[in-house]
Amino acid sequence: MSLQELRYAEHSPTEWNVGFDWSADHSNTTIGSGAPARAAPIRMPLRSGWQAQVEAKLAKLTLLQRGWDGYDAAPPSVLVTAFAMSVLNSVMKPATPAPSIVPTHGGGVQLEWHVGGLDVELMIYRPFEAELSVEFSDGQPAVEERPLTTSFDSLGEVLEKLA
Amino acid sequence: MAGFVLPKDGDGEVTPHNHPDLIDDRRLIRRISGDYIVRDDNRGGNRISSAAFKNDPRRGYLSVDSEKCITDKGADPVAWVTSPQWRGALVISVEHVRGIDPATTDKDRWLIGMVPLPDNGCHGAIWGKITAGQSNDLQRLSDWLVPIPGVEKLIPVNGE
Repeated sequence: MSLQELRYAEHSPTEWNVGFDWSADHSNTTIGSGAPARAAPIRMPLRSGWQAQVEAKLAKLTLLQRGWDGYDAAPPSVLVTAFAMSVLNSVMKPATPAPSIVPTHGGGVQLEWHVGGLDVELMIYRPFEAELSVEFSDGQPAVEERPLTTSFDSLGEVLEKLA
Repeated sequence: MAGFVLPKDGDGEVTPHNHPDLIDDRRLIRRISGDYIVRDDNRGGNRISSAAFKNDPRRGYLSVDSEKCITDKGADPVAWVTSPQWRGALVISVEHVRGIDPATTDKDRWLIGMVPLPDNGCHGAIWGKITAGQSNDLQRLSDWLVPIPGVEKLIPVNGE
């Protein structure tokens, strides 16, 4: 399934608000070979250090077999991993440390950062259905499973502290 | 327990229940896949993710193994739950699991029962919402049954 199909399969375009430009090629390549002769090639920005790492991990997770957890867990779907990548593209800075990514027994993924005195966890159950948990080492009140659907600004604000 | 019949729905699927064998100090085993290991720079090492014990009831139950069921079959729990793929396992008493359950009424309590599978007759389940915080508490109250080298488990706070 293409990303475009994913977009329409899950929600209408107006609901999509996680900041990822689905129409862009985010690989570190020069494009324009199919453009008119006079058009200058478009150079896409260099990918951040975390992007290749995250993409590789997410791709690996989709290859898990059913029962990967020793029981009967399904692997994360391509829909879930594509959504996870889109969320990260919308909130991560180039210097933000890459998250650890673990599959969940319900077929989702969890993104985790345990660094800088913060324990940040974003559980993605399925596209547009996630929960944010944050624990602070300085005694600030913890965030316990705040539901997030289309806006991930609160995650971005927390990750700002790590960039 | 002899005489107890697993409750099933019209499709023959086991429905949520409390199994009479899973009480008090009887222990539940949770296999720990290498996929659950995450880097923790705050604590300086690798640790088990909270995802290992989290559960969302909309997506089913949390799988476990019943230690009593395994030993009743004359099998070794360590051999039963580990393989080159599933390297580690944690074990926790039902009493400790019940102690983490935030429910204040019987109808809201987590249910702990048995759901035998074709390849695992000692497969059990915990039904109910388990949050990140509760998951970490379950991890803290667990003991390693099969430790994973180089991986730390969360430890009880204040020497509980």
